[in-house]
Amino acid sequence: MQNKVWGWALVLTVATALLLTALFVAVGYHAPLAQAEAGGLSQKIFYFHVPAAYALYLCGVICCGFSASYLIRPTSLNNAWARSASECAVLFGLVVLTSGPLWAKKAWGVYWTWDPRLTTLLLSVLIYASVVVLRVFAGDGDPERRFASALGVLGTVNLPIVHLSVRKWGGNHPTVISRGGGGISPEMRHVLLLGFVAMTALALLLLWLRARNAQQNDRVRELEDQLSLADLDN
Amino acid sequence: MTDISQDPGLGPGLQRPATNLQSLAAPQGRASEFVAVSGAEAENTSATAMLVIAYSLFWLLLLGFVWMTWRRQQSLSSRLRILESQIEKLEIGGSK
Repeated sequence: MQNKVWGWALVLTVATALLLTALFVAVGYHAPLAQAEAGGLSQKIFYFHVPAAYALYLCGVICCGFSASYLIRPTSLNNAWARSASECAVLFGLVVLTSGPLWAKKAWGVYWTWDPRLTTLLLSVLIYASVVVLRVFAGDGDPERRFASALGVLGTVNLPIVHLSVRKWGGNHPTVISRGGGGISPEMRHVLLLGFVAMTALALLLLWLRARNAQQNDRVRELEDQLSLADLDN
Repeated sequence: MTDISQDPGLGPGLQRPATNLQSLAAPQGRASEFVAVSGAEAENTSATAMLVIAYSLFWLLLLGFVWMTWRRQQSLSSRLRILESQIEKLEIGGSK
């Protein structure tokens, strides 16, 4: 069983590395330049900015699912995946929040504006960051885990608001590929699809690695408790 | 009699302030008007620089995250090995 898991992990690692390499080659050589209003060459940030935002949503949904599961049935597995998903959500959130302003500087002339989507996304990332900080600094007991799980659910409840904010409240953020948008050229679409596949593989790999990490942490704690009990008996 | 309509802000009997605005030296090169032109460059930041910085930050964040995970995994694995061997010793001692 363990060997089978490692086999899958190896396949996923190799696939992720190949997909990321293919993505960066495609962005460099296959993706055409966009119009100056979209940022020109800097528009190529789009090919990992949007997939990273999608990976953030994916991690958010997984965080919400396992956090809710932990609140109903507190197991080590649920906690490990909820923890892992919140950590990965922060990573992808940081990728979105660092790449977006660099593109915006070229396309909009400013690094940051309190646009509805940017503001709501920042709020979501801050919620996930608070989950991570809480888990690291407030201990790892059941009450802390429950509180972190509740916060994880709250962070994900905000994600549909992030997604719909452009349609509801407008703002500077483009709506090119969503409903009502003008769409993108076929070459751009191929590279973007590759970006989505690469980021999905990367997100799954990182989620698994961090979840394994969290489960081993639980195992260490369990053994330490076992040892201290044995010491007390002696 | 002072004509107020000729000198708004100054009432009858009030003196003009001592500062003579006309005598202040005008800084050279200061724009005195804005004129609309067509084809002006709206943003002159280098797109290449932005792209390179964005991709570098992506790799930096990703590699930092993987490195932190790897380091944590190493320390957990070694701690786990130590604990398992200690428990094994205790179990052997207990069975004797």
